[in-house]
Amino acid sequence: MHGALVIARNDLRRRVRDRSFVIQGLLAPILFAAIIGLAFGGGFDFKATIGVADADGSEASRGVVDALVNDAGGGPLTFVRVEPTAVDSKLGDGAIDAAIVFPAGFGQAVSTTQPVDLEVLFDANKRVTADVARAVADGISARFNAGRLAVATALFTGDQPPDEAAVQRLVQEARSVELPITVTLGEVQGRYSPVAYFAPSMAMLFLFFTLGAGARSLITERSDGTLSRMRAAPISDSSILLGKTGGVLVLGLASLLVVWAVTTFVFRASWGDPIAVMAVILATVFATAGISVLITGVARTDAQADGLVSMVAFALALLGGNFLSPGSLPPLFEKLSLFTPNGWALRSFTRIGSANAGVVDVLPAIGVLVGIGLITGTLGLAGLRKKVVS
Amino acid sequence: MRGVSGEPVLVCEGLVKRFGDRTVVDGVGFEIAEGETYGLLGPNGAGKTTTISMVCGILAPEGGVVRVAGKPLTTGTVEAKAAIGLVPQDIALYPDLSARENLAFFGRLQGMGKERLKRRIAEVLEVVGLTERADDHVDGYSGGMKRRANIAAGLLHEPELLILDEPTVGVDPQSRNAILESIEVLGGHGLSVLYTTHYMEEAERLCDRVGIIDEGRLVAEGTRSELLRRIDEHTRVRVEASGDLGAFAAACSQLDLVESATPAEGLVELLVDDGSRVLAPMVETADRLGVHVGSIDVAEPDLEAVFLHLTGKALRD
Repeated sequence: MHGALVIARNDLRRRVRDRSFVIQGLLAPILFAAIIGLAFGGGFDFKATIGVADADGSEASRGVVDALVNDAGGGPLTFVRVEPTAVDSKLGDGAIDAAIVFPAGFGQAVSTTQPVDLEVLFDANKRVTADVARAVADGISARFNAGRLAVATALFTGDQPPDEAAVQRLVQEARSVELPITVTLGEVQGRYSPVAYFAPSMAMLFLFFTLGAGARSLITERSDGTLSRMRAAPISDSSILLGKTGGVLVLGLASLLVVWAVTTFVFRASWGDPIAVMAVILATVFATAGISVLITGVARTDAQADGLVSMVAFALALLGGNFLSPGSLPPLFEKLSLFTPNGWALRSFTRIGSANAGVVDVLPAIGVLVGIGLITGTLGLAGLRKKVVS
Repeated sequence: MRGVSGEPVLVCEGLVKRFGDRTVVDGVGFEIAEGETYGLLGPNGAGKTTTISMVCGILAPEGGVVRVAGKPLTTGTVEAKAAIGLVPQDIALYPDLSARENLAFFGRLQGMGKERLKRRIAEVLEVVGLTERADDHVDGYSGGMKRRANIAAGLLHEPELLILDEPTVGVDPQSRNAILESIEVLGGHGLSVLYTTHYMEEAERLCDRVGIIDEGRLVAEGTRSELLRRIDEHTRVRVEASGDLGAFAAACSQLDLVESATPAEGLVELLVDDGSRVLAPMVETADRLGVHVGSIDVAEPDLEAVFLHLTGKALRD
């Protein structure tokens, strides 16, 4: 045990002194999280400006356009009136994010059995806004269809055949029924800061590099001869392995804790319940250390280990959603992310940060992370032991 | 040669090591007594480093046993390793740490206490002449300084057996001489030393006994004199002279201890049994015959000749 502590301490001192840990483990994740956080502004808010163009000019289309444009509810959507001929240019210069166009003949169609089709135009780079605009258009169509259905129902169920005046009155009343079209983005327990999400996200990515470098040092020490000198000392091979992996774990833990502290106290980002956060940090470091040790265990050379660490780190980060905002992974990737420690860790951090989850709520994820660490770490240590004794 | 007494500090018996189908060390066995400097002499790839890796407990042998200071040593033992100080062939130091920091780290691994460690670091730095540069990073050292720091790390915990694996490889002549002098001093203080080298002159200068290793086998072992007696080699005496060299050669060949004397262009070459005893009568003969002697060169047989005789190849092959 004494030998393991001496080795771990020596590794820690060397990594801190050569600044690789400070750069990879501390500065890089904080910097990346801050940059991505700035890109998202103060929070994961959705805001969009949707242009509304009336190419019909009928009473029905004017009514809906006026209702949308005059709505000053302060919600995430802003509707602005746009001339039909200016829609393309407004989309092009970014003045609007999407447009709903009431086509000529709209007013006529709503009084008959013809389909009511609204045209939705959007910026291809703003898919979310396009989906929202399409939903609004669908809502308007549904509203008019509901009105037409109401009139048809009244006519069908009446005892006497209705006269023309009664039909017109029914149509007018059906049109005047307010079917509110609103888009609401609910906030859960206040705003979830992008920095609070991307800090662990980026810290996890760089954790692989930090821990990978630590684990790789065993290969380096073997080729440099210092491992032979250690093995000639009166300490066991297990002490050497324990010291090397212990140093790796401490570095990883220090990295995530410092990122947590800096983003919490400097950037005012709320990660959520500190106890739950610490538990997930520990489990995440354990899982990542296990994978790093496994990579080092199977790699033949320092350079090979370096390449493998980079490849695995980025693959797991991409699959796990480290580069995307929460909940924005495509469905297939949502499932694939469950095969990565990144996916489980980020889900846990998001739940703790945005939904006030506690340790108990994230226990299953912690269990999965510890399991990943145990399996990969055990396999990796077997490989490392071979490297040490050969 | 120093006298040697006491129980062996190191006993190796029948060490065998294979890498795949290749037997790298094949039944090597030798002993080193207290205060003895033992040289393992052989060309590159002879099995020297593999042998000492087994002696240090770094490699597990497929056969044979190692005992250090009376205790059995394997890769899993801890106690016996404390008696060994290893100076590997590579500079086994952290280049980003100073010599003092390196020594402190390896000393702690040896379980040395704080006070003793501090004292010993100062002492070994003095021994290897690095006191002035003790706090500089090792990567800023010259090749010779690195070698000396490497030796210091092996000496730090006052081992009973110091193992040096080709410690002068790649160093300049001045540093090499300093290293050899340090080892001579250590041997003089009673430290047992196992020294591997492919430099015949180092083995002759430092070692009380030499084991000649080739292709994983210890082909001969003994003191320098014992080894030389195993081969039928004579001292060569080259006399550069002017005058009647034919008559001079014929007269020399009649002297005691002279096996043969052959005249050549401007010189006579003699094969003798004892170079020091034949010089005086040879010079008297030259005077008597009016031969003017310009220079005399005496070439004693050496371990290189022994190696050549035993293996059929040169040490540096």
